[in-house]
Amino acid sequence: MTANADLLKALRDVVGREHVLHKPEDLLVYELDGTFDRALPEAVVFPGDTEEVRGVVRACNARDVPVTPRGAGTGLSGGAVPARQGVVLATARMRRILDVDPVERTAMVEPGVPNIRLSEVAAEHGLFYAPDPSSQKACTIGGNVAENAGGPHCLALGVTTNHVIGMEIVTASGEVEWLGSRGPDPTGYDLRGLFIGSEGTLGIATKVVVRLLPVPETVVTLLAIFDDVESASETVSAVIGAGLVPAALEMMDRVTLQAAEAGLRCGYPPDAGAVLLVELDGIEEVVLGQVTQARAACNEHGATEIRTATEPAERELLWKGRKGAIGALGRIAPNYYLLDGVVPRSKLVETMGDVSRISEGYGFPVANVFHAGDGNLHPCLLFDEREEGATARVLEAGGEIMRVCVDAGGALTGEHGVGFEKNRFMPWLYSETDLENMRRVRGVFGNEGAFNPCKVLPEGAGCGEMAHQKGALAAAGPDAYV
Amino acid sequence: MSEAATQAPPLVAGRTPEAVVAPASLDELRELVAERDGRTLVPVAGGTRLSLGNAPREPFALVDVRGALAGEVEHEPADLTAVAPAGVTLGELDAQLAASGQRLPLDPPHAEDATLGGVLAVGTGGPLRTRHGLPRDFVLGMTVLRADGELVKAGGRVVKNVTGYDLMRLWCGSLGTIGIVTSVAVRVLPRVETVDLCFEVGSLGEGQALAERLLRADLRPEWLDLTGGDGGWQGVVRLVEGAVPKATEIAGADFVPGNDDAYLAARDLGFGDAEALTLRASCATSAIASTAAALEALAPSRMLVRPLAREVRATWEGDAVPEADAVAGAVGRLRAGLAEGGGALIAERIPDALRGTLDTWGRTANPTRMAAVKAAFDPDGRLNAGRFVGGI
Amino acid sequence: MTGWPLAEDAPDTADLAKCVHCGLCVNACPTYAITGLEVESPRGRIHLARAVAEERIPITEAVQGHWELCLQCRACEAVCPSGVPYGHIMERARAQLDAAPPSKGWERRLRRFALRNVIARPRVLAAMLTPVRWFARSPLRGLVRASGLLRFTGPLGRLEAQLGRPGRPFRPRDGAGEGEVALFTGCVMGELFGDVHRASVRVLERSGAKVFAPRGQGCCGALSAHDGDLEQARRLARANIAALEESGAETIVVNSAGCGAAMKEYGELLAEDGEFAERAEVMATRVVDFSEYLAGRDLPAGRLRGRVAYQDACHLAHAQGISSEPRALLGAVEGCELVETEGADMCCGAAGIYSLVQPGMSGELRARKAAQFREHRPDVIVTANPGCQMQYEAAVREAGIEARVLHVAEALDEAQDGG
Repeated sequence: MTANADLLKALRDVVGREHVLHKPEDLLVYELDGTFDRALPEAVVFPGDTEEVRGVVRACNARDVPVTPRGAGTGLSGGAVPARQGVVLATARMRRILDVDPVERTAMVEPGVPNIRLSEVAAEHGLFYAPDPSSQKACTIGGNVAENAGGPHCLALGVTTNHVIGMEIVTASGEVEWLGSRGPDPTGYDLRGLFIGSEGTLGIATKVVVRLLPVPETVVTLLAIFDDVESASETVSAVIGAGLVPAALEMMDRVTLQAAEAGLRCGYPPDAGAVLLVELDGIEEVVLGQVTQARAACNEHGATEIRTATEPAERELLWKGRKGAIGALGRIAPNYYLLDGVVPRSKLVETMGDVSRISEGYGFPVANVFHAGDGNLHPCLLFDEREEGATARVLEAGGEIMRVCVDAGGALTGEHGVGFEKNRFMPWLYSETDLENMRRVRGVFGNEGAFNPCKVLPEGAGCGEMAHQKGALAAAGPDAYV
Repeated sequence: MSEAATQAPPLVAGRTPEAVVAPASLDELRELVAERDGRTLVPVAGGTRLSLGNAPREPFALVDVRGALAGEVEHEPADLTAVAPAGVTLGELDAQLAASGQRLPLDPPHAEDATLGGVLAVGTGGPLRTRHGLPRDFVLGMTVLRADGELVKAGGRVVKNVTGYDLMRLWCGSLGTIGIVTSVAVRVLPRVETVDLCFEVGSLGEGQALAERLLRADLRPEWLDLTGGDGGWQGVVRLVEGAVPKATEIAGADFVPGNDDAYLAARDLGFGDAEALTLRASCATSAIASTAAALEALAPSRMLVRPLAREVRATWEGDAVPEADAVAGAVGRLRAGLAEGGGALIAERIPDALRGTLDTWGRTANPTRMAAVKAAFDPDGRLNAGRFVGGI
Repeated sequence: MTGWPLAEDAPDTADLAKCVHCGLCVNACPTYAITGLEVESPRGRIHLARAVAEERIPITEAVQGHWELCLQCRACEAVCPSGVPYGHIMERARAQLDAAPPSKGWERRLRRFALRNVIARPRVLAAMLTPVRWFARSPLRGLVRASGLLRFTGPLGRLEAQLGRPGRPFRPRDGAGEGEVALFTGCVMGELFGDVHRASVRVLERSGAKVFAPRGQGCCGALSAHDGDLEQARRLARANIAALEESGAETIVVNSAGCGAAMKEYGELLAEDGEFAERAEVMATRVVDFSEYLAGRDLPAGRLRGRVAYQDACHLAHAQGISSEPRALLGAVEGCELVETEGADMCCGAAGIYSLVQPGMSGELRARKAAQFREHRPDVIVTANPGCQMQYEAAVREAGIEARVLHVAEALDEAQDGG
């Protein structure tokens, strides 16, 4: 039996023949997630429950085959790319909602449940699940746990780690264990907190318990239009300075607005230079006062127009441009490279200047969409991948932009994760000792290097080959498949 | 480095330290930690929670880290962040943040004397956790002195960051067993105008229901505690000013303006001067009533339920401390019951008479994993060995 | 570089490049919802198409299988942030299958023969469907159903389950005349859903329109296009354009979502077609869906008692972006209680001839609808496409509930007629 045949047999024994993909053309589809990096798995396996997950991990460990977990594959840092090939463990069959408890305000779900489903099922109890990544209609809770996902509304409510209180995991070494609990303060180290955001390198969550929040009584969305990003940024500072912590505080620049207008017809004036979205929620008595304060801040800093909405449908309309903005860039350029960086809020304008300088230098137009409230930038470099070398250059420009964020006292990623995209930049932020210290947690969970390899931390041997393929969009030639 | 003890050193879980050392700088502290002299090091700063935990492995030395971890706070009001040395007290930090109309809403017992590093190492919250959560929820980045004397950091100083493993969460609440926190970046909030309102309820259940109504009506109480026992239950709630009329309407209880005493009494409950047994249970909402009843059966001096944080705390002072057997039995039963629903019970203070019959922590669901954490970061058991869960 | 065997009808490289594989489409896809497999998702199918275009893989049997399992419901297009024209990509990808090794060659050839020689030929179609109509209304049907024989007849049994009680046919000559508003009569629609056409005419007239059915029109070509037979689709499109131009109508009202979507895209279909390119563009702008046409017009209020579950027709909601209009029209009817069922906008599995060629997947999707119907117990199920109506007839039987299946036009007509 060849090594591959032996592996396939072992996997089929665990999950059943119909839940293992092995044909070359089927595997092809699992070579990438939402970003550029790609690598082909040897098999894709779909376990149906915790026991099967454990069986798959053990079968792989026994054969020294790398395992890479995958949710919906919407990640933006290559987290689900099987960097050293091996087996992709997909959670697509594990999408049951196990319980919703309105008294405890918790829900327990399997990892393959899409984020949006949580809020849908919680709605009938007047509750919702707070983290709302832009991909929430597709992305899974398991993936959210892995990446510690955020979203526009995490400014006031926090990210995934603030809302996932416990989970059952299968560790990298194939053991089943609960981290955290349904109770608020489990005794001992916060292993739950360590696991969340570990990008699937410590193990895979097989059940997740989340905290649900009461749906806000009143929500008011303001959309303010400005001539330039500077005025909008000053407004952000003024809003914060007034002591408000809005539920969301989002900004879009001129290029983004033009794309959104072309694709979505949001009714932005053609000369708008920046749009600021401010969302405030709470009880009406409190919110209305805050709205007055926020409006005053907008007016003081040169807003040319302010639109206000309270009804869900109207608010949806104001959000339409923001939510569809990044996709709408597809209307003005064939491809875009969506970056994720963080700087101290007060350095936003300065950093944006650097971003445009860099992108101009490379000849790529840039569109900026960002969570202005928390300094999380998402510059989008526009390019055409069909142009020779364009992808390589756009990635290089992306690297320079990351450097600028780090130099401004920021971070490499606010919500997309380090993954395989940015691990080589980690030394900009952390010393060799810091990184070695982080690496120790892998040992705690029995990751000998074969569980979602080449992610988060910079890696040497074995990942080098992948690394130089980065962005080249190169993969094995046709011979590999036929 | 001074190793002179002019007065009797404080005991740690009833044990006498072999020495008290007070390194004057971070470098001195690093040298001390890196030394392999066979002593367990027990770091102490504000000293407000020195009684927490099991006895350290002997011989041990108390390390007063205040000198080594002193320094300036860098507050960036426009970013809503601050970077502070771990030796700063919450009182000092708050004074500085207040100057710009901001705050760090952490209020463990004796917050004004507790140091930031200590508060994070212990990891528990106070009344404000009702709205704002635990200390770990405010940490953006940390630098920690590892047991081998290396300074290591994780996180950063921006409010949103997923760069690398979230070691901050591992360090928070680790009782200094895997490193001594030296510097911390925190997220801060604007100060808000609030009002404290007191009310009476007929029973604990009634108080819980009231809390639930306020929460469901989106009134976002900053703090809501119920205290009492045999003589009925009193509640106190802190709300932003604008929410008061609606809260009054929804609560169906008579609100009376409260004062600072009520707040301090709730915050420091169980942490008075007298010797005391203080137990804190955290449990599911549906288990609060039964947990409170079980503790009440031991006739505590005072009791407090923080319903929205799902926490029950009881304290027995002086002569009120029950027999060791009674406590051990009740705690054992409670822990077994709570574990099923994901709850836990911690003995936050144990009087000398009960030492040896009562474990501070109870069992964890992950003893092996936790031992592995300890082994990964402090293989020789240099820091606080013995004090934490399962004797790690 | 291209790996497409039929270069002239190959998916456009620029269209393929638009997909940034963000994955936002996967959960909107019915076949992904059922299988959980990305190879059965829009992103997966596009990635396979790219791989073929880049000559990384040939069009293997597995690739064909993944493309053929697509319902072409275009739910993915509606949620795609980058505006990937998935429907076009898939039509063109399927067009390549003629030149690929025939995995299910005989089946595809038979299908194509039927589409070209039956569906597209009004007389042949009429001759074939007349006995079907007769059977559907005869006592014999009850006997056949009771006998259980249908279980052994494969596609025939499935077809039987989908048949309602078709009324008289409605062919162009039944609506002859002239006016501003032309009713598009289609192929199967006119034969098996004559009642819908008659209801449409009455409702349109009550809204003040002067309606007629131009002669010379026929099948819109959608079925052929979806099957990858673009040549046949273009032929039918040209014939319709000529006939509709000839009629002088300014507006073409289409009450079949699939036809409407196809006709609104005649411009793209015939973009390379010399003199027809511009005519097709113009014709496409004249096409409006039945609900879309009525949305801005005054209608008698009407009454209709009961719980009404509107189910989106994919090619209305996703391809034409029309989902609030039919709901608003029904909502305005007195006594009508609109019930929103989960997955109302997800494909029912009818998808043209899909229910015949992919019975397994089609059945799974129908079962989802049936489960919703069992839970919500609607009195009336309303949709906007003949294929969907047939599938819902079967779903209602499967659910074991008493509910009528109506087209929007029939529901409005009944309401206006006094309920």
